[in-house]
Amino acid sequence: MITNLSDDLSAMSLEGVHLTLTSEAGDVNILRGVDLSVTVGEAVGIVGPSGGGKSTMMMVIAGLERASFGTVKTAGIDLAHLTEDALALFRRDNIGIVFQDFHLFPTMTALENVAIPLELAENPDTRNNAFDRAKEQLFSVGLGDRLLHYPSQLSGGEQQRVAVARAFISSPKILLADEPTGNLDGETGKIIVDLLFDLHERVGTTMLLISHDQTLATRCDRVVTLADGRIVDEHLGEGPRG
Amino acid sequence: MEMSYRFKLAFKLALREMRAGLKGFRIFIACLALGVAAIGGVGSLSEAIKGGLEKDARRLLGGDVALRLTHMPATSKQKIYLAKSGILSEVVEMRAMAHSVAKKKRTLVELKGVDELYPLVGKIEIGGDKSLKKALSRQGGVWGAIVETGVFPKLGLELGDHLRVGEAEFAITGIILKEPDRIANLWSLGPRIMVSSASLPETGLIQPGSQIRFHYRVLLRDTGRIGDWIEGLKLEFPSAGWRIRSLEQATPGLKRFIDYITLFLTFVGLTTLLVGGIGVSNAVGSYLEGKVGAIAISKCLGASGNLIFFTYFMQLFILAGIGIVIGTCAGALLPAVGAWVFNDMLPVKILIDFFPLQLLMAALFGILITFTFAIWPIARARAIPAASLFRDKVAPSNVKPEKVYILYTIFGGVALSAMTILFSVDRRFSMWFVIGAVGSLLLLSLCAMFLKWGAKRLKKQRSTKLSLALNNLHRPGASTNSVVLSLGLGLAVLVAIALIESNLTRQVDDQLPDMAPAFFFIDIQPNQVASFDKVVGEFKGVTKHRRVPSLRGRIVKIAGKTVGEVKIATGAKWAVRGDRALTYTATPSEGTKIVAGKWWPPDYTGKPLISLDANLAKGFGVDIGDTLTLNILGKEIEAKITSLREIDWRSLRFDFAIIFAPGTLERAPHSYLAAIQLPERLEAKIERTVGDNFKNVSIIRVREALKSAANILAGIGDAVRGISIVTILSGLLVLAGAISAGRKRRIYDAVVLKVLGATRTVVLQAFLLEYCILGAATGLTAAVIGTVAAWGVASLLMGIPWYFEILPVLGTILLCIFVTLVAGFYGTWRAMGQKASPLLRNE
Repeated sequence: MITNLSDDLSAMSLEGVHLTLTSEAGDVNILRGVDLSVTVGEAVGIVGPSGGGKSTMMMVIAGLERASFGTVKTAGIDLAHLTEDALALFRRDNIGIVFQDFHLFPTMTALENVAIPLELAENPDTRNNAFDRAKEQLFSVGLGDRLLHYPSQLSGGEQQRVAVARAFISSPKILLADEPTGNLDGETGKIIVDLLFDLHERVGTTMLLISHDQTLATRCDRVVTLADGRIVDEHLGEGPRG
Repeated sequence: MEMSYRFKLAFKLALREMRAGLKGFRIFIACLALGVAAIGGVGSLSEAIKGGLEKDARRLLGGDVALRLTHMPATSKQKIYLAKSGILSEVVEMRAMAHSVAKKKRTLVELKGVDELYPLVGKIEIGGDKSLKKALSRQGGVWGAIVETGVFPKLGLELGDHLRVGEAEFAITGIILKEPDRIANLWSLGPRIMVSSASLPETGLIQPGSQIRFHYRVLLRDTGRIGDWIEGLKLEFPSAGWRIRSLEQATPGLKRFIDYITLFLTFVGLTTLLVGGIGVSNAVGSYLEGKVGAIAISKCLGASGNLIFFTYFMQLFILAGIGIVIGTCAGALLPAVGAWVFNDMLPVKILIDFFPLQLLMAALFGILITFTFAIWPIARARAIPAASLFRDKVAPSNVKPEKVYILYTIFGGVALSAMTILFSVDRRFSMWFVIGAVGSLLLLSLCAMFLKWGAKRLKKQRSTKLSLALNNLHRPGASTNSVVLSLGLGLAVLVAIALIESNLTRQVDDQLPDMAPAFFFIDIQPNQVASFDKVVGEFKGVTKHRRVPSLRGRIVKIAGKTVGEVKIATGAKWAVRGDRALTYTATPSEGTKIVAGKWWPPDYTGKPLISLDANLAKGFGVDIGDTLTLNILGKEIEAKITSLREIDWRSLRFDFAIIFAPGTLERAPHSYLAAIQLPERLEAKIERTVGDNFKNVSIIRVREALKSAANILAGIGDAVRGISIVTILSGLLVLAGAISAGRKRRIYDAVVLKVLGATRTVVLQAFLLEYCILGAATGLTAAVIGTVAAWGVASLLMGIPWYFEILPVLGTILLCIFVTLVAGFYGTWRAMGQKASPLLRNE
């Protein structure tokens, strides 16, 4: 069974994780021995300079990228042995992701964009209720009047709210947010971040928040600094567990 | 996730994807529509014509059953039997010379003598306001004749003038506008003259052994049991020697001709669809390239690779369906268009109907092409990793689909080939087409690969423009493959058609007349032989003169088995379809090439022996010592094969597939054939001399016959070329698609180059140089493929000597460079006009 968290309190753990990518220009060492453990329900902010390996670490945790060396366990599952399709199912059942660029489907309405993770679910009951729950979710992020709008008809902030609703609809055990405010103005960004923390607290989701913004990261329980592929600093944040 | 739900979800997602509209798929749809329309249209039109022939079969046959005898009429007993079964009409046909009484001109005509019951079915249309009976009747001691207008210029006559056929004089009383039983006879050597059969004895042409065809058409009283009646007829007169045709075989020759023209045109349609397939592949590839993000997000959200595959597979098949439906509808309309265009040229009215089988076939071809060409790009989409959303910025993912999709693509190709071969009237020929098509695609792919490889090796050039051009040829996403494949195939077809045609024309125009006789004289009667030889022999300038006895007979048994029981090779079937010309001789003629067995002794007069064409022997599966049984003038003669000869039919030298040894045919009524060679300037004079001395002898001018053959070939060439324009059109569509797909990058390149200080001229020249190289390489490869295909058809299929003509090839290469340059210039010119700032800001 790959969909349940293990009984211990570790939502994700990385031990000695290395990642080297090969390009025409030569090998690039992106992660150089990362050790990180995040407990269930914890919110961890990841900060650091560009190219430091933040997004890559998130991808490794989500099973979007395979570590070249080291052990990655997410939701108690060792991801090393899962096939590409098994990893997709693992994400469907355990992980929600919010991207900097929103990554909504341009040909789907807001409602369809949010419903899609449930449409992909295994359980027929879940699938049958997909649109009702998507509607509720959109109402909960304040987009009850935008259900049938396409992404191109929404503002950046509204698109990101749709993305957040989509990330939370299947009540994931883990939420990964990669620069969720990077493409938004300050005011809109704040609304999105409030929404993320609000949902995190209400649902009890473990959250990994990547950001350039030190102040934003400090709202988490713990702040980890990643530079040149290594964790160079780790301190408590201002979150309830911090 | 259960399978049914996965399909349902994939379908739902496919429909959502299609909300973006048909943008990017217009060429995909157009390519499929064009190819399917060509195949469905050609198939439907062919069926419509054949349907018309079947519908009018009674009219074309002239009755419910038609019997044909050569040389001699039916006996009274036979006629009584036929007349007892219903209504009997007798028609006599022969070739004859018509002379203008006043102007002393002569021409070869197709003479037809009809009785008072003619036509039993249908109506003859005559210009001149007279009934047929009245028009052909004897008025003031002169018989009437109606003629096709072709007679007038040849004899310098008008309506009302007199002409002479043999010994009889006729007044032209009307013009034949439509002859109900005339099947388009492509090889007709002269215009029709129709007279009353009662007048024929006065012509003096009805001689024993003359090349006369007697037709007996019967309108049966009991039409429900025609088959039984025919069986009864065969039992009653087992060796009558007549060819019996019922409604099903009313026009076998014409149907066969239509089948072959259809086959050629279907090949062109298939090539169009193949070119379209490249367009399909390009469109799917560039569409899915734009979907990398959406696919990666789906995978992030938990969509499996199979779900992605089914989603895009369904979407593409829905879009392909649109193209196929458009093509099928257009194809279905072709019979109606054909009826409008061709009705005056054909002996029947085209049947305007819906031909589901032909359209279904075309649609199936469309589906298979989509499957074969779209499966690989979809498989690539399926393999796009979720990490592409992030990682492509660092290390572009080299997507490698699962190997099973190679098998699917091969399966699609094999299914396409199998369909092409299995549903063809000539499987061997179709197999060669498939081999040629696959070979052409491989060769063009190799050309594209070589071009890219070469461009990569040569890219460091002193000239910036050349460097830019070479760089554009091999960079990722370059349109090199699409342009080479799409234009190359269409142009190869054009080169092949042009070269085949020029070889045929050369064969007819230049080569044949050197070896061929100037004249054939037919129906020289035995009592005229001596004087004919004397007249020709004394004529100054005749370089060769050969005369042989001739009569006709039909092969009825091969090695003791009736023809129907023997498996005869396609290339030999012609010999058993009708009567064959026969001759006999004691010694082989000059140039005879015996490849097996021995010629009989010069003084042989024993049991029937024959020397047979070696190719026919092979096609019949017989050898030396086997027998052929021939029905000659109603008598079956079994003859033993003692030698096989290799005959070059193209040489037009006098030759016969079957030559008898002396002792068998001498006593049968027969006439003589003669051929002479002489300089062109003397042709008119000898024609006049022989015509004046031997009024019954028909004179065939070989030069004219060849000219009309060349005209027919040119007509067929035009039809095939006309359809191949569709292939080129499809190629242009794909080219436009490829250029349009690369437009964004081209505009970006142009803007950046301009920002960096390159002038418009430099950028333009670099782009045009790229297209020039691309066009030249494609044209050259197309020329090679077209030349090889033309060589194969000319040398291996038609068996004519091969000549390479540089002009069509050069023309194609130049055309290709021109087309790519124009297309490239259009795309580039628009890129030149792009303002830099908005684009750079967006970037």
